[in-house]
Amino acid sequence: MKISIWKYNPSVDAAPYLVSGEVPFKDKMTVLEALIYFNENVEYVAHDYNCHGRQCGRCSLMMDGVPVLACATPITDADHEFAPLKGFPVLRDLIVDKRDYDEDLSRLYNRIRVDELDEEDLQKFEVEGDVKETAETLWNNTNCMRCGMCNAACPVFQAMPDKYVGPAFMLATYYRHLDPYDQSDRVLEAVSNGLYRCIQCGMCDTVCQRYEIDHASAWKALRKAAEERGLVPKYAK
Amino acid sequence: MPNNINPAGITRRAFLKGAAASVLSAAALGAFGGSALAAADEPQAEGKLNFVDYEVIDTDLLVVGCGWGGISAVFQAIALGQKVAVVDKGPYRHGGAAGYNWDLYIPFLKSREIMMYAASISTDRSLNNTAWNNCLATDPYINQELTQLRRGEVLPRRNEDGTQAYYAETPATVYVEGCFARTGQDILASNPLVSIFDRTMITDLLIVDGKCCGAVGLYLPTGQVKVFRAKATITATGATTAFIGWTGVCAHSINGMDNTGDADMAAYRHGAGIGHSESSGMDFISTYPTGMGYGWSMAVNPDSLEPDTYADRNGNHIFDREKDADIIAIGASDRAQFNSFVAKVLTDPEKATDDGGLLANLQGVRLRHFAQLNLKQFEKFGIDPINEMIPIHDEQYERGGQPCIDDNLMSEIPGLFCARGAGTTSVAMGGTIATFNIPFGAYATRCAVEYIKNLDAPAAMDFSSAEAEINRLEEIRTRKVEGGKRPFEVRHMIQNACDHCCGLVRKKEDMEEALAELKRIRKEEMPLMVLADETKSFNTEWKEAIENYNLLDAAELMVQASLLREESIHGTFFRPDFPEPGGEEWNCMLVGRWSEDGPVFEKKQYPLLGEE
Repeated sequence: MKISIWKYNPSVDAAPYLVSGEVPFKDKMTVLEALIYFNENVEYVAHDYNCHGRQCGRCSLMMDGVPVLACATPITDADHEFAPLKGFPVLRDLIVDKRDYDEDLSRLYNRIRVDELDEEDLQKFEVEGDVKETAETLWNNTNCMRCGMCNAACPVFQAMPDKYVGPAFMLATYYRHLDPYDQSDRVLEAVSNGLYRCIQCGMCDTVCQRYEIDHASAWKALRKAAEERGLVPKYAK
Repeated sequence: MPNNINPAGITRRAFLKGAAASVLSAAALGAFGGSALAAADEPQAEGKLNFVDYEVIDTDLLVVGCGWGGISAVFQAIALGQKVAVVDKGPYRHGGAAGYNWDLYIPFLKSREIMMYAASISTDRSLNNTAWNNCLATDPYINQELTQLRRGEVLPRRNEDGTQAYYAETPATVYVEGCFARTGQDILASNPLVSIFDRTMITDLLIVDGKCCGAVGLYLPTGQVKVFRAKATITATGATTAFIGWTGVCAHSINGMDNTGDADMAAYRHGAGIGHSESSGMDFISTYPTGMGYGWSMAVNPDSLEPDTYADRNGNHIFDREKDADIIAIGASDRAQFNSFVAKVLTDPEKATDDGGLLANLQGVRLRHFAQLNLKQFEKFGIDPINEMIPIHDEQYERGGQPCIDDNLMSEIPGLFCARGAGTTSVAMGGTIATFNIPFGAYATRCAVEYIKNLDAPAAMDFSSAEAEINRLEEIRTRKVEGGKRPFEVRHMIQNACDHCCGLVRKKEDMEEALAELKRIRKEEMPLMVLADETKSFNTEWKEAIENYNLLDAAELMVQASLLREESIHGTFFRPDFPEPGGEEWNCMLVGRWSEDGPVFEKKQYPLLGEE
């Protein structure tokens, strides 16, 4: 396979540039395997990964224009182009800076409540919907790697990041919306953060590698809650 | 101070004066035409910098590593009103094993009384029983389930009525599904008492007057050195298993590529005794021979909780539910002992596969939730693990090999505390688990805070050990050698050397061969290590080269300790030449200390509770 990779060292290079080389294909090869082969046999390419198991989110990159999780994605026997994950500043080659993204996301995930939780709260799970279904959805969504691929793939976020926080952030809001121990108004938060800017194209669900997370249902549920409370913005009516 | 990395103990002043070139031996550094050291002799080119600057970051309490142990240490610190600086090698929330954001099915402690009773009757001298007792007696977070709930978790396995639906329950613990570390990290990040320095790799400790006064860190995105100055330092840096084998993307271990024993081996090189290097946590959960291997996303089950999934090379279950009922019962609570039964099967050529593994037979097995989700991942690669019986292999997910600790979790270096130091668990445990990281992380902070209260300032502040370290790092970065090898090449040599000798079954001849090869690598290959690129922006070659020194030390400690321990420990490992557990003479920790010729070991026996 001819693999081409965008390299860029901000302390040296005028602009990103493409390097190419041959990588032999083998059965059940992952994108990460191909990348490491390239780094070891063709040319040095700075890249990052840790868990090699679809958990930590660090190996996310663009392959042929689409965000993929390198460690968990099969590579096909064809020419491919790797680029750093879209929408993040490049630290070097395929390594991007997700610090601002991580810090902002973190703040959304923090639970808001009046009093500290106590032992009796362990056995309470007071939700509006079905208990087991809500618990299951929460379990699924906790698996979010926060890899940023959904934001990289979201056409709305890429076009207007000042108006829509992107799927990764909206998922955080949804998480605390479902969390029976959270006491904040997450529906208002969702709408304020651009829930209705989302065009429901499904790209987030397409690129997400945590199969258990259903973004489309999350956005529908938030919209339903917003409608019930009359929180639909003017631009969405 | 001179050591095997920097034999001349070069100081910053000597470096700047260019005296370095004549003092440093070629054997330690390799030939260095055109290096930054030699450049100091040349007339300074206009506008060109020829010195290395560093930041000093001052704090009272420094925590290195922010996984389960680190998180707990930091929560304890803020509960005490203690400001704390946290360093993480990876991007915060995504680093180390806790950064996996995975459902570990951790057994949560619920009974202080039962755990302390266990400590009181312990006859295990490889375990610091006093530290165990002290830690648990004063642990404010003993209700770990409630602790996790307070740290942002929702504990999402519920019955219809909203009560917890535990995966399993014992008198002392509850197994909770759906429990992750990240929400705790979110809370800490927003706390005003916490300063986080991530993507910073600790490469050395800062030693002043024989005390640990902080650590030296390399900020990977820019290559700048940050010297953390601290009154007390806590390390909580995970288990180093990254030197065992290589699949094309990782070692034969689910553990993270971040965990290369940087802080542990820095302590080792500064004279701290390292314990339990031979103690390994093993399972067969997540193996597949190639690029997806040893990843949680490829986990289908085989560990002590699912004995039905182990099959021999012919596809037959190795455990019979009726005939082996007692073995299966052991598996529910003692993974290490269960593994000893599996180890015996691995040594049988009629049963083991050609590469010394087994097969996963998932027919009729109720897969755990995470394993069910992974089926879709297998599908993507065209594999049907239910009908195909995929190959599995023992892998080391955890390990000892940390500085050994006293009753207050302090290592042999004053001021350096280790949240999961050797002695916080037994040699039979095989490293540790989050269940124990949580109380011990917090205990480390309580001990460190007490230490700080009684600490005098040093007579003078001396950064020479940090400057020596910077020179070492710079030399690695700018080294030029005829026939030089890139860091990954040398790392693969280390990994291949340890591939076959450090599993569940450890044969003497394999270990001796590995040890000889590791010594050869140190002597012949390490000096040849050169980087493909010497610029500083996120130079992963530089990172990997620095890591290789740590991996090599960790590997040597592990193989040597395994050789010296002439017994089989309960499935931490099985030695065909010493197939039975040893007697009282092996009821001990093996502590390894650095010497010119490799680690020197002695036996250490912790007292039992109630003794002296």
